[in-house]
Amino acid sequence: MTEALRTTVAGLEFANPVLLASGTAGYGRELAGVINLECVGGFVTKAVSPEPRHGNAAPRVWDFDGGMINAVGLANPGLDAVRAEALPWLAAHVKSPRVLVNVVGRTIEDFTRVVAGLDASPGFHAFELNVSCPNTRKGGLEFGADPDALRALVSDARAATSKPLFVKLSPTLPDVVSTAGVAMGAGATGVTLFNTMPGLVVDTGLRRPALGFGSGGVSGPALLPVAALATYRVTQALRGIPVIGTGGVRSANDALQLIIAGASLVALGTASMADPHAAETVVRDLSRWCESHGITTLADLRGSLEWPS
Amino acid sequence: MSERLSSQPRATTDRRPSSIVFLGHAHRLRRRTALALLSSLTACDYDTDIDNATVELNVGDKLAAQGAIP
Repeated sequence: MTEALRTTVAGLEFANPVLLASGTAGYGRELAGVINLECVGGFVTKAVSPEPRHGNAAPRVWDFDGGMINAVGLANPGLDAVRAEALPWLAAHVKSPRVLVNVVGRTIEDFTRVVAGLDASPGFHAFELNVSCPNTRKGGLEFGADPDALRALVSDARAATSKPLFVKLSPTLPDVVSTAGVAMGAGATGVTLFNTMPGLVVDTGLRRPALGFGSGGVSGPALLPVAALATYRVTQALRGIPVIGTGGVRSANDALQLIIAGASLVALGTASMADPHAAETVVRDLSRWCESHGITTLADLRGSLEWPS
Repeated sequence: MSERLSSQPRATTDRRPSSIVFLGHAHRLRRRTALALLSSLTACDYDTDIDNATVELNVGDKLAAQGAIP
């Protein structure tokens, strides 16, 4: 692999900028023997909440022509099990990839509890806070849509760890630049753009939602331009902010779009579900592209988009 | 569901598919791979919950529709 792909973000060195998004790599061991995890720059674990969560009623995953929709319901074994089993496995089996632990909660205290509870454990390098969850103390409004709640959440998490903190935002935010600014002001290291887009797939035969939960999060190729624009706007407004571009990436060209728009790292989601080797292919093709275009460091590409005057 | 995956040991009469269509009509994955990916998404252990995996994947309907079961 070309040295050009090496990427340093928030003091963490990634062998390449390609990550597996949360929910597509489990806690690592689920994919052992299916793909070579050592090929990717890193991955984000499935969510961790203070208590175990069984998630929503099945079906929780559905594909359609434009991508997929899911309403898993943040199913996870909970903080204690992740600390006792998942993280030790990661520490023993994952060498090169940087691991980000995805954190969810229903209250600010939930987030802080998970961050504080895992902070001293081995096997991971950073946190990703999923602030698209509804704040149960505020009547269901997403943390990310409430600047005061977001500020308090990130601030409290920052007080609980010195590790890098990425905040994963929703594509439905009315002003993503402002929200990213709030997160950074409260101590975030960077942002992940984006989570899935709320949506509905109807089973016309049954006249019911295809998913057991009803609505779900849409992901797939159509979200790439959405993530690219947000990445560009956020990195232009908040110079130097690390962005993990996530949304619809299926190829090296897709990854390059986000990097040129300003992303430091790029995460694959839906593409990895359809083709588990998609990330490996993107890494290989990125490497070849850099070699064929004389690119010696991705830093020369990052944020190099020339906007029409 | 016209066909269901089974957690029973494979036998000569077993009609479980060795590959299944998953998330994209053009994609055909080994059964084990598809379940690993689904497990990555849902945090479930489908070795012990294969019926649930069948529901999650909508496997039976897809296989029947595409004539994938020999």
